[in-house]
Amino acid sequence: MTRHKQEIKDTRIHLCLDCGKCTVVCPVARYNPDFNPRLIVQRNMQHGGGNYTDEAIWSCLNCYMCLERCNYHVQFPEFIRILRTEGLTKGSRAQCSHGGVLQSTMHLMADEKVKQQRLNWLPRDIKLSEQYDTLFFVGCAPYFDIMFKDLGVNTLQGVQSALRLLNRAQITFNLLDDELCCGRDLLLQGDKEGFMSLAQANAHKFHQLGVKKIITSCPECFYALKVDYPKMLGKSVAEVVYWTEAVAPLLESGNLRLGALAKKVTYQDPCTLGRGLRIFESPRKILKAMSGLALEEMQPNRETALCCGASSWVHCGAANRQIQDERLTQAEATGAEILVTSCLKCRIHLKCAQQSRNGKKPKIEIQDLATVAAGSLDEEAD
Amino acid sequence: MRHNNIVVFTCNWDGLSCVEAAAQNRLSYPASIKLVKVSCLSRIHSGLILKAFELGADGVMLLGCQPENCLYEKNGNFSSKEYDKALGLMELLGLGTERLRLSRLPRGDGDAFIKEVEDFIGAVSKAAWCSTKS
Amino acid sequence: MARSVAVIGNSVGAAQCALSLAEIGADVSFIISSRSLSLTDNRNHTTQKNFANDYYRLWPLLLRAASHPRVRVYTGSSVEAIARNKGRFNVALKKLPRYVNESLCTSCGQCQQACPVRIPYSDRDTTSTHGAIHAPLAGKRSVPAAYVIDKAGTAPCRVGCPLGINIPGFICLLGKDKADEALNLISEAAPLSGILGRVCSHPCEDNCKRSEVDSPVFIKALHRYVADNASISLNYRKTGVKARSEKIAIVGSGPSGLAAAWDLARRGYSPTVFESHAVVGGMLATGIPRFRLPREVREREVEAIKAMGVDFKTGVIVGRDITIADLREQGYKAFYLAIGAGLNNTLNVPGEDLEGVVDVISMLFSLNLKVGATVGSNVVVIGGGNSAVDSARAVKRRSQGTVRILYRRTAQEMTAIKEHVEEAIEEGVLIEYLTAPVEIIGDGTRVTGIRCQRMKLGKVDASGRRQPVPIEGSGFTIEADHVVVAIGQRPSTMLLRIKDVGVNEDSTIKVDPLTLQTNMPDIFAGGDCVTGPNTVVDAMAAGIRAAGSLDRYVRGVELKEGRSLDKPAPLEVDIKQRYVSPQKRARMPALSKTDRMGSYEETTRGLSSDMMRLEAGRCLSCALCSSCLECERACQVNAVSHQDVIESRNIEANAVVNFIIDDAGLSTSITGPGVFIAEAHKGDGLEDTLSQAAAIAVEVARDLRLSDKDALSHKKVHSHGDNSSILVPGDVNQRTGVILCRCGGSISSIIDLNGVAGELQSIPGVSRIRELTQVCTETAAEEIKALVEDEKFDRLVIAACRCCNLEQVCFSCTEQRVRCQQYMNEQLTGLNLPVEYVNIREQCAWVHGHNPAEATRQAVDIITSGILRIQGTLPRMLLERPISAGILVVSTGLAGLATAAGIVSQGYPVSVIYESEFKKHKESSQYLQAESRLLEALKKSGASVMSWPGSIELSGTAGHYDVEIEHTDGKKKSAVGALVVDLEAVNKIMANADPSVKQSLPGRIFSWYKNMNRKRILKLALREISIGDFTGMYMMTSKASELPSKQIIEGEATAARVIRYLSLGVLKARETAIEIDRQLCRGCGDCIVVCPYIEMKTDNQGVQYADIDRLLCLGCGACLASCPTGAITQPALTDLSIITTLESLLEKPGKIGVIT
Repeated sequence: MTRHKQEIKDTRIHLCLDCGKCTVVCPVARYNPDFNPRLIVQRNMQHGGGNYTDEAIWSCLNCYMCLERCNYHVQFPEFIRILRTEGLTKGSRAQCSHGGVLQSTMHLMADEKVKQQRLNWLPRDIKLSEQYDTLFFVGCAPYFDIMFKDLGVNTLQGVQSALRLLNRAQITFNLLDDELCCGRDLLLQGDKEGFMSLAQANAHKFHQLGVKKIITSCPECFYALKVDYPKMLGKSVAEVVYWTEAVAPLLESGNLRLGALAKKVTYQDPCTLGRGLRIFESPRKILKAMSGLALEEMQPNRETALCCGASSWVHCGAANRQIQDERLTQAEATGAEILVTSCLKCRIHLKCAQQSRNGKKPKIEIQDLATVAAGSLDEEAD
Repeated sequence: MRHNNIVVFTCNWDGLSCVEAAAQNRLSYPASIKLVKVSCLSRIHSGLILKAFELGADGVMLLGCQPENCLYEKNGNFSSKEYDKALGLMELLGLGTERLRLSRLPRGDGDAFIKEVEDFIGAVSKAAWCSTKS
Repeated sequence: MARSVAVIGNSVGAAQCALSLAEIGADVSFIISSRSLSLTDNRNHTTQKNFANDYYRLWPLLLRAASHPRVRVYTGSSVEAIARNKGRFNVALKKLPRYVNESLCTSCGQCQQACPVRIPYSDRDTTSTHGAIHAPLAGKRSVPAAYVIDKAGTAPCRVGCPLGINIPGFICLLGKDKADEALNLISEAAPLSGILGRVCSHPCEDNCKRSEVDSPVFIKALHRYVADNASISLNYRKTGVKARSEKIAIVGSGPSGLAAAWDLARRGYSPTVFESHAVVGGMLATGIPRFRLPREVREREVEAIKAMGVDFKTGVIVGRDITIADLREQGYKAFYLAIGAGLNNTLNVPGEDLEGVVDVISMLFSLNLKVGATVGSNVVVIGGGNSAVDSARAVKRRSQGTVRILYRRTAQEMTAIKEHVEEAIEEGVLIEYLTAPVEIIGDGTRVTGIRCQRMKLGKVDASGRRQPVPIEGSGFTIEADHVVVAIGQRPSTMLLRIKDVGVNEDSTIKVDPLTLQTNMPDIFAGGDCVTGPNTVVDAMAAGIRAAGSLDRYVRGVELKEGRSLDKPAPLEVDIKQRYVSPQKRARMPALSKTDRMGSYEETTRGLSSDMMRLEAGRCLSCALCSSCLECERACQVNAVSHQDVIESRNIEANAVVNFIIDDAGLSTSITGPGVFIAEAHKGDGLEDTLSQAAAIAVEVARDLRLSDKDALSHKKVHSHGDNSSILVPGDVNQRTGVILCRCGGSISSIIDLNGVAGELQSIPGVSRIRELTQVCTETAAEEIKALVEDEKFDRLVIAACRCCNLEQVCFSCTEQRVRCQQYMNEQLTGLNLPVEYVNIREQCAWVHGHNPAEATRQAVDIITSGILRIQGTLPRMLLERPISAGILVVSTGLAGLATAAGIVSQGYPVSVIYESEFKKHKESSQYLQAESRLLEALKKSGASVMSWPGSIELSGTAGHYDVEIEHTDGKKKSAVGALVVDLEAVNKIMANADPSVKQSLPGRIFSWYKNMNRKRILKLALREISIGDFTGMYMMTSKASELPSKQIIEGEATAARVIRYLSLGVLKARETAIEIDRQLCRGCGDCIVVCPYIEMKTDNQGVQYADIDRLLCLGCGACLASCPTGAITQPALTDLSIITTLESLLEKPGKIGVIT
């Protein structure tokens, strides 16, 4: 039995009953009739295997809604990933956003000749430990910062704020000057080869430096290091912690205090963090730890929260735009002034959608969780 | 050491006219120059530039019209956004910004083209890291 | 139908006019005085750069004009006269030869590579050189692109040569180490190269212009070098001449007789040569000592002439052994007497009969041919000619004693060739100048000495030399045991025993100088026996002249017809133009003095190959082209012909447009009815020049009533109704054909095309690869079509010099590339075959010419990328839309009226909205007159003129705009193909237009071009010429305040553009047009920022998306780069195909991940 046959088996796809619940909850299916998870499974499971020329597969957002709803826990997103990987080898192509520049960047990073200059942004006041036993995994924020300057999403600020909070919380960590992209985006779009080269290089570095623990602020990196690496490399690379999970307990125990923010905010659950890794509460705890802050939940939220509408830098079109519109409308409906999220991609996607909503002026600010929290520290300072 | 690969994205108008003029005067440029012709430089985006590096280019030259000369009145549009984006990413990647050059040459100036590419090749081979692939 | 127009003058204006006329439907004869179209208008370009800038910018205009099927360009032509009757002109042209066939030449440049001549030229701030055959504008593309040859009469050296040998020709060839070709070239004119190269008196060198720089080119030595170093064995036989049976006798086998025999043999005769001596060669054998002319050299030449079928009868003395009369009886039809001057003049002094006193002829004869001829120990030679010097030097080589020359004049007057005199002195021969013998004294039997007296020079005598006069009492005696009398010779006709051949008192034969015929019709004479002692080269010339006469005589052809003695006019050569720096003339290597003594080995050794090359390099190519014919040999399409001459042409025309402004060369002042004069005004800008030219075209069109109706309807046939589409295949993809162009060697001489083919063979889908000599010819196109059909290609890649398959003409395009596509399109129409062109000439062969291996590798890469691109093309729809005929002109000044008048004169329905802004400006009767004239004209031709309406609503798209005009009598809706508006009208419309108008295409274009000015209009007009403009919207700047004349010109110029647009009949989307994917479009609107032609639309769910009318897209691709999602694609050049290209051009590294 070939590797991908086994992979397909692992997705439990054979348990699919054709009930179509996945399709009912799928946000993409709602706006793009060509995308129908139930039919995709049907189409690609006939004659015992995918036909791999199904262009619909590129529209999946990997938002885990289907998975959430499926009684048999069929790994539809993973199934799509496998179809994509096979599809690429069969000449099927993803339509990359932004001219494929992000994919090229990731591929270039994996080139051993490339020596990144990726820490120039690091503020002086951030204290790094001498050792590498605990590592903060920055992720692609520096690159996104350049890519999306014109959207005004200061992605680095998010990272800097997270680091400040960790410093304040006395959590020691170090940074890698030659950290590589985690590779999750490549994996999701089917470029397994690309993912592997990045993952192996990263894992090798961790091993060399004797990294025991990795903290991330990017949900995608978190998922990659915690779930994808062990799965694909066959062994876990280290203990992987999402920063809110590290910080929230300290807030509860009172060992760390945040400042004030007299604002009405709402919180966007990143799919990967929420449905993906079941982290729903620690971000909310951090919000609530700010005095004067009122958290107004969007409908839906948590397990059923709506995706930010795009993933892995492929096939972002009309349907995606409509999903984003819908989510922004839900956010505005809460009457909140700030839409907070801890995923820089959510911010990028929602900001982008805000730019052009049939001439509608943006009604709500979109901000990063860490930035908001760290900002409140300064509030307290003066 | 293998000679450097230089990709020249040239616009079909003033840019190409320089290349052609060079050829017609039987000047010669190094074989490492790889020409890719597009209607207008405004067609080139950061994705293609980075792709060139990914595929083994050591330098990328964007050869176009002097702004007021653009046939499509588009020259302004290019340089800014996509060019800066590419530069920024290259800097982060450590490729070094001297590997990307935007050259706007006078129409039909073959000598200028030769001078420019030779100068660029010089700059590229001086650039710290010497090739994406060996 | 009266539609032929002659456009005279070479300027960008003339080109614009010719093009506009052709586009409107005229058949244009475009008459230019120079070799190629140029910009010449009254603006001067200070530097190369800003000239280039304009030249390239206007290049598409020139190229379109010259290559338009309705335009015929007459280059190098001047108007001799113009006759006019009943509205028809007859233009008489004088067309100078180009020597290259314009329709055959593909300007591959091989001829220039082969041309041995280099001519320096300076082009503004650069100086360089080109061949005698070269591209019209050295170093720049031109149209017509056919090469030209620069010829400037006959080179002075050649004029100086009695034989008319093509001296510059053989020197050039020699300079290129082509001794064999050089020998053949010389042998076209004369035989005996080895001999002439040694003994010629080289009158050519006396004419050599090089002496104005330093000293003449050593032509004689080069001549000898050719003879001594040619690898081919001497062969004078001429193929393809019919043999002639008539018998001709030549008396005397000296240079003159030999030359005559040679020439007759080349004319097909087998003449008989009678020689009194046992050896052939006359003075060459008996007179010239072997150390100057080795026997082998002479014999080789004689053998070669024998081999031509010439019969030599030696030891036969005509007159004694056999007579002319006998020969007549034997059937000899004609005779050539070349008996030379064999009788020695005598001193007529006492003692001349003493033993030991000999005449020079028998002296030289015995020294040359007799073994053991003895000489005295104290020898005196009397005389100053060549034979005197020769004999002195000959004796010196035999005698230990003294050898002395007595000459009664000074060195200047000596007739002997100077260098021989010098050599003689080197060798120790003593010369007593101004010394004459009075008596030869002896012991009764043998000579013992000579009594001499000193002379001084008196006045000039008949021979043009100063007469020596004795100095009283200067007598003295010198000892001598051997005296050689060498004071000249004269012919001896009495030997011949022919009565009544007319002779002069110096016993030379009387002949007609032109025909060399004696008073007896069948007898001709030449050489020394006619001129008295003279040079070898003159004797040969006479022989060849005589041969011509003999031939005519036996064929009964008039002897003088078309012959003359006068030489070509001397050539003016501007030495400064040649930028030469002085360089020493070669010195002929010679034996050392000691080696010469006691030996008859040749004294001079000939030039070394290095000396030869240097010396050949000294030639200035005074006559530019040397007619060596290397270019004719190099040309693979037989486009070169040195035979071309001035032609007279007559051209019929219904109208004449004269662009020759204050041109001195204008032979007739061309004016009068039916003749349009384009006047240039000081300070005219380019936009004025071109507008005026186009305006004239419209006026001519109006006069001749030529609207291109037939062409229009014929276009309609092609159109597939409204918005129709044709599917271009792309799915089937198994059989790709590849054509490799050799470009007459300019590609194949560098790129190993076989190697390339080998590499390409392995690419999947490539079914056949074929090499062709020249792809840009009609025959090639036919061949390719046949191949396509036999091989059932579904893709075609042509690797030549063309670099795209688009309908556009860009700055880099060339006549060949246009031709190439024209021919291919003719052949391939209807086959619906995707074709890709890649340029392996400029981009491989030329730029890597120094490195063939590299060039070949590059070619493989470039062609591969082309193959992959074309194989990747997807099937797609080609959009077409007919253009509605109606035109709406909205005008506030005269310009609009002029446009309307221009268009309506071509029979298109025009409606005009006119409200003069003029009232606001100061009174002008000019304006009013013009206004009423135009309105009158419009009314007459049935155009509707309306006052300003309540409202104007614009909508629709290119080819079909909907116009809704509200007047008091309600709204009127109409569809128009073109909209013409001036800026003030635009403001008036937009001022109170509702948003829908602003959003409409016209509205968007109005706002995109709101800061329109004349320069920008010019830019758009030129862009139309390069890539076309399919909006059908024309904006004018004209303000009512401007001069009426200026407004009218701008208006008519616009009319020309509109008519051109309308005559398209149907719009086709550009190959490069982009497409927008509805699913992928996020409706972000980034694209509309960069392009006025993209429109934001909203679907019924309120979702926004961008939409493009592909007919409008100019194909720049800016929108594509601006699109974040990849919804916009350019099917002709997708990102994917660019990436594929990159992959095939770059050394493919182990890629990481998959290409996305």
